[in-house]
Amino acid sequence: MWKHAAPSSPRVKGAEILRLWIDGVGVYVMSFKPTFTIGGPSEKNHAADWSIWSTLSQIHVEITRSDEGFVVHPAGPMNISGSTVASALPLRHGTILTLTDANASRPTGGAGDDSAVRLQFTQPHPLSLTGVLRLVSAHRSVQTLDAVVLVHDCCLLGPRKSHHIVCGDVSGEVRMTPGDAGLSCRTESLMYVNDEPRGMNAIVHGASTVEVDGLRFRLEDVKEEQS
Amino acid sequence: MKFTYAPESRPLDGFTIKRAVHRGHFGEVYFAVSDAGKEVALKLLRQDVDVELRGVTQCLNLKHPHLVTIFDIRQDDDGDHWIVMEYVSGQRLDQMIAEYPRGMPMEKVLAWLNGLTEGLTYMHRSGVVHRDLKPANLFWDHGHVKIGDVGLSKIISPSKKSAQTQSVGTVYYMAPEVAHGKYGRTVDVYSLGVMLVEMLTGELPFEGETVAEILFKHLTGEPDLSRCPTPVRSVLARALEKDPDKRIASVDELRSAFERAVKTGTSEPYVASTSAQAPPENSFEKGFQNVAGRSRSHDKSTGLDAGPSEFAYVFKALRDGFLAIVIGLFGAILFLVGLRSSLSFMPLWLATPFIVGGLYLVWRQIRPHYFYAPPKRHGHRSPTPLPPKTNFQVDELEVVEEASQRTAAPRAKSIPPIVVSRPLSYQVQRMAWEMIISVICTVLLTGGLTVVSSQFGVEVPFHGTIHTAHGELVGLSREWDFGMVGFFGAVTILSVWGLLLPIRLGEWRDWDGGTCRLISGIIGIAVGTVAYLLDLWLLIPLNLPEEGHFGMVGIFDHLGRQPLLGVVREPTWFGYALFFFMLFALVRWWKQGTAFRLKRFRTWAVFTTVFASFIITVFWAFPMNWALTWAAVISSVVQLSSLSYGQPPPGTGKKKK
Repeated sequence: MWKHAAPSSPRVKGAEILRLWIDGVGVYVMSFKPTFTIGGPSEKNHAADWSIWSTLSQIHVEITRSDEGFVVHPAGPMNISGSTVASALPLRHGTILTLTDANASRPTGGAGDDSAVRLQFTQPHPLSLTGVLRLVSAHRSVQTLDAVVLVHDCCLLGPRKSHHIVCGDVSGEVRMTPGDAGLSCRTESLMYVNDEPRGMNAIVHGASTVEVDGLRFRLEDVKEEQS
Repeated sequence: MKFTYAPESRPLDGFTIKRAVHRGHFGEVYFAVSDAGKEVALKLLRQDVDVELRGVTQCLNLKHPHLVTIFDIRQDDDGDHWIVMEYVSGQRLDQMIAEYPRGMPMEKVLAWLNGLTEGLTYMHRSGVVHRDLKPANLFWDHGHVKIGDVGLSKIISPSKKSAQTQSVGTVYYMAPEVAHGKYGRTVDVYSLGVMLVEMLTGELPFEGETVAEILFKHLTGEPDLSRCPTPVRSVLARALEKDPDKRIASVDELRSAFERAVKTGTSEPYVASTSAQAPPENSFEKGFQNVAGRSRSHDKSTGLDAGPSEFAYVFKALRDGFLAIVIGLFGAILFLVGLRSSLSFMPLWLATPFIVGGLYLVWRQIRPHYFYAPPKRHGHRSPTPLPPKTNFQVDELEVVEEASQRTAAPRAKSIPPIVVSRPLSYQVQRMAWEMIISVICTVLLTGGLTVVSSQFGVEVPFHGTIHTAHGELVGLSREWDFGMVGFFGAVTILSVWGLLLPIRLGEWRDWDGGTCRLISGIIGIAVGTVAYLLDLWLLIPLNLPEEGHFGMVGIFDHLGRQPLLGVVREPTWFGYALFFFMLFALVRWWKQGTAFRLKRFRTWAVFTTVFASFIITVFWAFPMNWALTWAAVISSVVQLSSLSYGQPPPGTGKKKK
């Protein structure tokens, strides 16, 4: 069995999960947590980090960060490419996780099974271990979400497919790197944070609105949002 | 892209904006969350608020799984209107089409078709037509098709037979009859047909470099279905019929026929269901006119109608144009003679028939082109093999352009002025053909005008005139002066060639009107110079009589210190240069010769040009008979020789791929 390295500690001061509202693009969640959980709908206190309207258990799967990337730990029925996964497995670019109903009386998760939740894991940038998780089955998140960015080293916003979050109308790139002081945001042109000019490098926290090069996005701390 | 409201704004009580989603012509769309946590889309109306509100109000209580639900219409403290509606987060059809540049898999196409049919059938049964179906308005929302943007929807009721006030829809997907403002639910069938072609091939059936060209193709062109799977071609051809009466009657019928064709895999020509099977049509839809309005031969091999031949088309336009010029000019001269006579020697009661008759003749030439005459119902066909007698004039065109911009959502192939560029070889070949055609047209028109004018005794430039010893005009010589005819023709050809150049360059380089006028004016000076040199060489007796023409001698006979007339009242270089400069710069020649015009020949354009020439000679001294005739013939030849993109250069096939 593959042994994964010990999860790293959170690296963004204060926030563990940030929600990113990007004008004209979508809504994303950036997770800096060492362990990110996915599950079905439940009460707030017991909810997974990513709740999906489905028959999954409250915590159906955990994804942990390792030095080499991310590792999936099934807590409920899960298969990858038709093979049942019962133990930890490293995630690779393009992997599709099929999460099935824990209480199903017959095997589910086949090609024609509409109830199975399918998630795709990608690592679009060749030099970054940061992963992106998307729903590819016809399920909805409890709160609207386009994708989850599992931040390993950085999160890149830009026009190319190799960016973790693709923003079509932007010419430059926004690079967000977690650090002890907060989230370091670096751009190629002048940046405004909460309407104040901050040059091309700034530390941003939750509840910040960033404008740069025609792109505007807002960061919100999910924990504060829930409270 | 800048949006009005920042995240966390609360312009509407009870809702917090989280992010902007999209900006369109009507306004901006935001993703917002209610105080209770409900996720909604808020649409802020900025433009054409009444139009949007009317459409949305109609659909406020329509409920269907395949329609984007509208919750409410609200007004903020500033008086702005907001539409609160369901937030749809799925992939749009245009995004999915972009993922499959060579065409989507058939199972996906069928899934979209099913969802769209369900939603549209519900709308149509509810008496509402969508009118703005396009991939950017359709969403794949977690496995369900959602039809959005019902803001342009329109109630179809038997009582509303009259034309709509404005054309609507997005030009790539717009049914031809929308241009005329009379339409029903089959416009949605047409749009669905266009989208099916795009889904199957990744390409639109009608594309063009400008809105006008696309509209022209919708009105006259045959869709290229060669890249669609063979079994479904006949079904799609019927869905894209220009004539709504021939088109598949409902979206449900289209789905059935399409699915049947896919399942059986046969390419049998589509046969419409019988009247017993077809859903009942209301009288509004029965009022559809024959949009194409032409009799076309039916190509049995393809099931598509073939257009008229290029020769017949040119011949008919040439004949009609020539007759229009002759009759119109005759009317104008009659009017001017009557007016002049009434002011001098002739009593008004005697001059009145001249004035009225002249005006009537001019009116007869203008009326059919300038005023809308409702076509007859039910299969009325024009007896001649002409392209559609559309009344889709410039004003209407501008409305549609506006509407298309309004409704154009971001997509891979949005509606920029330039979508595809034609190869330079094609442009050169086209220009060469136009130059050749212009020579032929000039010869025919000049010759025809000479013969006709001599028969009717109308004063045109290239007849010899008989004057008294004191220079008074006694009458017209019956003899043709070949030198004058040649001079007239040569200058006309030179003018047409000179005008075609900025027209084509303007289309290519996307010049504005001012630039076109400036370049044309400079070319006019060059043409005037050549005309002056030719005049010197051929010694053309091109004089402005002392009494002028129709009593008008020109208010100014000098340009600064430079005389416009020489010692025998012949135009000087300044006279020629000024006249041609003004004529070329004043008239909007690019409208007359654009490849995207919807009518090959417009009599009104000839009259406008003649009138401009008349005004020039009223102010600046120049022989009016030459000026008016040149204006009429140059305008006619420019129009007749300019090929549109609907008519490729001879020898390059019916369609330029």
